[in-house]
Amino acid sequence: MWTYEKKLQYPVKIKRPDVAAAKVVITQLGGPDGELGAAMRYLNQRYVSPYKEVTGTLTDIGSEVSEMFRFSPPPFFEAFATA
Amino acid sequence: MNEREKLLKRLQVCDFVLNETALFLNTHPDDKAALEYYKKYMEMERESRAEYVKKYGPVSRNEYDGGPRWNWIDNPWPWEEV
Repeated sequence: MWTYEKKLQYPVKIKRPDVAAAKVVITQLGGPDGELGAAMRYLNQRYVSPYKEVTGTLTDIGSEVSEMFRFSPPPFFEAFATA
Repeated sequence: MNEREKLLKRLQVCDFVLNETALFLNTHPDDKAALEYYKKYMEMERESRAEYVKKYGPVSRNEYDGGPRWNWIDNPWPWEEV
């Protein structure tokens, strides 16, 4: 269902590692009200969407949120590890 | 099973084999037999996918055929009856 590409969606360069900020970022990603939860809601709501335009769009944004998750972690964890 | 389902099944089998073989190759990156096996299925996957996309539309969003309509949204979704 998902594929991984060895490239970033947008170039990331962390100049100043910050553990407190990292905590906020990872919560925004995987926390109780995070992007991952939003992705699951998009991907579940598309099953009952009466319009195919909406089904397609929910599929695409639901996948894109997961892309954000898989694209962001490396530089993020790097910052975490070196902090 | 109609023609479309048969083609789709073949693609699913190929992708499954590629997935599992890739996992094996992660820990055995120089295994000749595994590499050959992967290559064989890679070719089969490519052919099955191309045929399916040509006949029934995109499996993945980046398979737009250049036609007059964005048929990504038209494809029967996996949970739909055709």
